[in-house]
Amino acid sequence: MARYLAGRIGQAALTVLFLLTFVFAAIRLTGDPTNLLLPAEATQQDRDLLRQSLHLDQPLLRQYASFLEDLARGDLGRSYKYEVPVTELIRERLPATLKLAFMAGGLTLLLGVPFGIVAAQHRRHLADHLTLLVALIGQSVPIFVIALVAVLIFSVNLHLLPVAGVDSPLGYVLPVVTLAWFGVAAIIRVTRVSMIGVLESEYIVTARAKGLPQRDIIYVHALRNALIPIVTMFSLVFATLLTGTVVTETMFSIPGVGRLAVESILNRDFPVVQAVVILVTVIYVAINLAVDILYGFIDPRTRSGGR
Amino acid sequence: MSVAAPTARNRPAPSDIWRRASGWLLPVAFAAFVGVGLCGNVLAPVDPAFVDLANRYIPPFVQAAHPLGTDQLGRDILSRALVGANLSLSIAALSILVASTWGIAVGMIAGYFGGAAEIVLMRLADAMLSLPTIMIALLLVAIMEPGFWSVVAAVVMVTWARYARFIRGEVVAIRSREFLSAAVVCGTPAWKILWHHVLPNVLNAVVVLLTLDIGRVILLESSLAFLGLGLPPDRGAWGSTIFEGKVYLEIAPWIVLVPSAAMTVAVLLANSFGNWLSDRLDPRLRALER
Amino acid sequence: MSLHEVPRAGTARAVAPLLRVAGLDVRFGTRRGSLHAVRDVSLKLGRGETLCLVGESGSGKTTLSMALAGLLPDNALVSGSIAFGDREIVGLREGALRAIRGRRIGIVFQDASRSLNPVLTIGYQIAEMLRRHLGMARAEATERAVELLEEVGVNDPRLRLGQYPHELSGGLKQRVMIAIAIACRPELLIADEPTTALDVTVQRQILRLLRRLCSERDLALILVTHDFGVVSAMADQVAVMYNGRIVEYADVFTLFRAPRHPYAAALLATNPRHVLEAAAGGELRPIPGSPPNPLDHIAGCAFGPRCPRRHERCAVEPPLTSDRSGHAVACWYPSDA
Repeated sequence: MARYLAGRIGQAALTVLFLLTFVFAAIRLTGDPTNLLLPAEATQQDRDLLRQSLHLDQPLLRQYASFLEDLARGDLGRSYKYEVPVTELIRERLPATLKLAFMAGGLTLLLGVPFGIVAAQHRRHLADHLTLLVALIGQSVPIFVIALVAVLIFSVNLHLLPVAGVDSPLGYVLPVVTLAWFGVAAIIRVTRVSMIGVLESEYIVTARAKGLPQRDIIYVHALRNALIPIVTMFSLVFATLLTGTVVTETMFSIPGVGRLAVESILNRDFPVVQAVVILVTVIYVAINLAVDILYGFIDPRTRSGGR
Repeated sequence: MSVAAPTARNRPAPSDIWRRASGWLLPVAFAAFVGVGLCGNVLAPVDPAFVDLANRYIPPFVQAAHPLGTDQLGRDILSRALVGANLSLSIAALSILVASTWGIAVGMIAGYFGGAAEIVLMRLADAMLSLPTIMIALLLVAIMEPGFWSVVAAVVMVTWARYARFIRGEVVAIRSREFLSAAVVCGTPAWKILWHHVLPNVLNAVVVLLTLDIGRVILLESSLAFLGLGLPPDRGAWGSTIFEGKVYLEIAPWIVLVPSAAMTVAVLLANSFGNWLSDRLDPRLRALER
Repeated sequence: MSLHEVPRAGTARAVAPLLRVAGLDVRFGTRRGSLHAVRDVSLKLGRGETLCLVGESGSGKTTLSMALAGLLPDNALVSGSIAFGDREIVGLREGALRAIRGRRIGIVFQDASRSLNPVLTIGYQIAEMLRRHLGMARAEATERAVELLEEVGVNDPRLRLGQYPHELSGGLKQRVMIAIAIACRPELLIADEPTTALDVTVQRQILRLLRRLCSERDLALILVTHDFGVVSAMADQVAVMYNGRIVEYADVFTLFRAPRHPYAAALLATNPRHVLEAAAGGELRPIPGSPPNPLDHIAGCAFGPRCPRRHERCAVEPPLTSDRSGHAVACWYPSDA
């Protein structure tokens, strides 16, 4: 188990390193970095100063090293627009995004798994078809369409929920549901398929032969095995959740880091963009790592040397 | 005789009958979509950029001249939707083409030559795939300034690795087969082997990957457009139209609903067609679907 | 180290039989038509007796054994009677069946690697029988699980409790399955080819274990197999099945000495020991043709097309008739006893 953990952590670290290298390369290779890292009105003097501080006259490796150093120290640069350290901006905006993402993630599992189980148990009959239809819609309809339709129905026509903003807890309902929709669909489908496969396994026949109550068969014997692909799907779903937060925050005017990144691109405030990209990706890698570790607990076969 | 679980019901299901009946409906629909999309500019009945402030906010199905209504500037919605289709499809086609060509090349080199090249290239591909799509897209758009090329670059960057991984797997599998060894023994140069022997065998699967990517790319491109990070809004990409029309949701929801419906249909068709194709051509591919 | 050193379970007693099957018929509704897997089967089993169901694949032996525990899928149509003790299995609700399965009827499947749940510990899979059926507390169940593992010959039982199936060898896994099956002291054990998936040496050990358990616990055993070696080692009674019917039923000694049905005789002749003898100087005689498709409806004796003694009369299905000693045959031209 320890070896498995060490392997996974190592891989996560390598991914982060790759990300940082990618960011570094992308900036350096597409022209003069000072164009990006300075506001438009910068003078030649500003440019020269920046050149020096970034060691742009130095070999590439040296620049890379100082880039990594700065990040390690927590120095994410300064925003041009707001003229404060980027870390401050992020600290302000991150909570909203995290709340959104985690609520949506939770909803995904809370709705997806039970509905998937129901669909698997009532295969090919009404409950199954309905569930599959909902899942199909969820996976094909783009997120902003769902958001718009939801707003149209619940805000504009029914006046039940606010159109934008998250000042009140109600304000979270539409964004979270919108965000979770795709994930719920994906989890329903994978739970269903996984459960169907598991329910046809021989060890389930054994469980029946043992005279165990149906509850035990489904939730102890079947679900534990079905979880493995579900967990895999969840980490993929989480990636789309991230995409989704950027769009959802824009759609519902939520003050999160996603919207911050988009605004910063439009404002040519590059340090902020760079910081958000790195931070969010690191969070993403961390979540995936947590999921991998979870594997180790769910499937004992992984612990003793891989599958 | 297998002893299935008590919940397995084995009567012939209505879904099977439906599947058999609608055999060719899907490819035809998809072909129609692609046709309309690529000719969008030509098919538009009215100049989509024509601003007509006297005729703003006309609802759909009311006037013959504007079958799907007009938007906040009096522009014909149907025409704009068609132009949007054209844009989305063009961007999708171009970026998928570039991404797949690049990815296939990388995959073939990695698979065929093996060794250090394979390890390095595949690690790169794996790392690329483990990063969240939107973040990479945002980064590239930020660096390259929002516009046509930055969107294409973003899409290419997040798409190529999938092809590389898949192709390399196929090449490795084919590598050991006899006809390939025969070709090597005859002294055929590597590129010829790859082109004449390897490529035809993987074409089926690649076609399916391409088709499945269309939906994905349309969504990504529209999301970027929606965020204001794609082409300029007056070009009429679906995402931009939706973003602009958002504020008029109460008074003129069709401004937003028409491109939304168009986008949904497009993605649905592309995905369904991709699934259909994959079932026909190569059942193995189901496992690759993410 | 012959298996025959372990005492066989007792022969049939005069008391009422544990299991009495009458006119059992099992059909499956499939897309391709009705599959008649078990046709008009009748048999009985006394306490502590061992019955072997023999036949090729598709003969219906597995379906029959599963039917006895009510373990058939939803699309199975069952008619006839299965009287187990004082209960009628056919038509019994799932809830009542669950009370019987595991508790009064234990089942051992062929492939323990696939029949044990890979994500649950051995200890859990044994203890849950005791907790669910006998209401034991966790600690007590764990202790009893250790005892059970010892009884079935698993070494290091305490260690095994915390292990997972993939950490055990095939033989150990099968022992665990047996431990699970006997945990609640059932009256009947159904074993479907329990040794087919194992190495030859392990096979003998498992069979010895089953023999011992059956005689120690007065446990009736229905053993499904296609291997006559297993039959000779384990059976008190033997039922030979073909195309869903019992074509010959006798005690094991009689069957081996003088089989009366041409199919049973032919099967015995293809037994490996006989094959060796035949190779030494006699003839190898495989049975020509192949078993019929259970989906087909055959008029007359199903074995007819392959039978060397076939005559016009065989166009009518021969009934299973038994003589005074209880030896039953379904044939118009059985060999003399």
